[in-house]
Amino acid sequence: MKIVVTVKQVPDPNSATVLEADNTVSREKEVVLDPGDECGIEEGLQLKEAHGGEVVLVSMGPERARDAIRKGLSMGADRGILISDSQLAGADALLTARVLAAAIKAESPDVVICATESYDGSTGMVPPMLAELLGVPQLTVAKKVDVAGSTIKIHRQTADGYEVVEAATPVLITVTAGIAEPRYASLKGIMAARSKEVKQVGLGDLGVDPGQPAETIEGVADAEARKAGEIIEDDGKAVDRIIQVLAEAKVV
Amino acid sequence: MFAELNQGKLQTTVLELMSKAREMGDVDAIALGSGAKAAAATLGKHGAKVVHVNEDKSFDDYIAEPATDALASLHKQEPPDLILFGFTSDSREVAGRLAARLGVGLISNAADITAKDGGLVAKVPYFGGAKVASMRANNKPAIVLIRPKSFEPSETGGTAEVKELAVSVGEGSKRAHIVERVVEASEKVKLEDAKVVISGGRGMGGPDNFPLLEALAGALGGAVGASRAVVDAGWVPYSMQVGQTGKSVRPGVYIAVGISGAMQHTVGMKSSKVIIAINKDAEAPIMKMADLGVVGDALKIVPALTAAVKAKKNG
Repeated sequence: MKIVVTVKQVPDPNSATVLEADNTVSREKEVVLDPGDECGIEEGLQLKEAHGGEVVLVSMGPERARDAIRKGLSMGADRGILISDSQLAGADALLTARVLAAAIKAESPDVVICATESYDGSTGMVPPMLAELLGVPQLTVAKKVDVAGSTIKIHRQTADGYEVVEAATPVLITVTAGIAEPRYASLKGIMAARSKEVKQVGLGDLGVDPGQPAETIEGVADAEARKAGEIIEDDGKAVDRIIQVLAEAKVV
Repeated sequence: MFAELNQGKLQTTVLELMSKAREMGDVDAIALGSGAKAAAATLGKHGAKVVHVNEDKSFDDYIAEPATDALASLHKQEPPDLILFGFTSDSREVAGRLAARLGVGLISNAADITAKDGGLVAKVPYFGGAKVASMRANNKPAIVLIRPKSFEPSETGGTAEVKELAVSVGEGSKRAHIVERVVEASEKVKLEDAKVVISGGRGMGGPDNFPLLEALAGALGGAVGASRAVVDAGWVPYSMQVGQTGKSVRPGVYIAVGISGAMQHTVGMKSSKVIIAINKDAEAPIMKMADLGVVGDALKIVPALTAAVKAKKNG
């Protein structure tokens, strides 16, 4: 089974986000492999361990996104593809999906695994676009994946439980963070990752014309901010104050 | 307007969006799967001029692709300027495929949309809702996904013309097959509709302490939510997640317990009327947006508060 996992380097969710003067999110801070993608890689590795095959990581990003791929390789993935091109800075969801699709098509995988959404953008728009461009069905929000021959069966998280959804390969699966606890890279894994291939490609190699962006940012404004309120230390009387506030709001 | 149905039930955010859509022009809604015809009457009452319906069962049983076919086919017959979706888990899967198929892209996570200079501009909150970007759609049709709870639903008392949408869902689109639906937990008070929401984060210490929040919610007649961090950690189910991709809530009172206030979370609750935060860290971002911030041990304060609420109600 050939498995492609899409990975993204994101600002470290555990450090505070900073805005630049031009209202873009600062790119200077610490960046890490998206924690959701770690779960995707883990699921990919487990599928490979159970059914054989290969796990290929594909990422679009600047040169330093190689570190995110390297981390996945040290967990045990076999090789990586980094799509890097100055024309891709600020790429929107559709362009991102188009370049990922071009790189992934060349691999003809049985299964493509994506996180349901990234930690930074959190819009989850790339996976369904990618599935469409690859011409494959999407098995989404999976918290469990089972394979029976060429049929993939998942448990799809819903508001009140889950759905059992199945499709024949090739498929695109989006996974929840709860699907698998990502393994730590062993020292051996880290050493082995150094000699694994990370192929770098640009738009020309993929034959993708970036075209015009689907949307243009016309301006940025401050949202109506909530006024900072009262802050109290709990000295045993805090509950009384909370009750007063609840009473003013007419809920007690 | 994509009128999302889930097992025959019209999703509430669709009616919120109708309030906005009818201000902008004539609204055609598209309702697919079982319950589509019944939904058409409701959509008419909320201002839809025309509702295109098709009750083929494949819309219920297969993920995204049949609905994408139907929207693409309607787009071919009567090209709209704008296709609106709710920014929900199911709708975004259809919108993403459609945007890729039509090659037009989309704007997601919008809080508002206006017609401006012959085009469409959406307001998209980011940076935890502290900033709002105005984004112009460069393609036609514009595909825009709007966050739930952005508008209030209201009836106009109209009647929609119901048209049967001619679309045959090909075998090629019947691929991701929903073979079984399993209900694990029925919600008591619906999170989105609750007047009081009590949400817990990592500061709750572990899943074993969530019953403390349930008890407080019980006393206040509210519902319990959670931050993404604890949902990801598997403490509580995804259905409880409040935030950008979880649920958006706008209750009278929101009590954030042991939640630091990551943007992923705050964008889903910042429109609450009153926000109370209980956190051991006075510097947590949630404290800067709370009407009342209490610095202390949540595991002590919450049970005491529950007892005080009960005493107040009984006294």
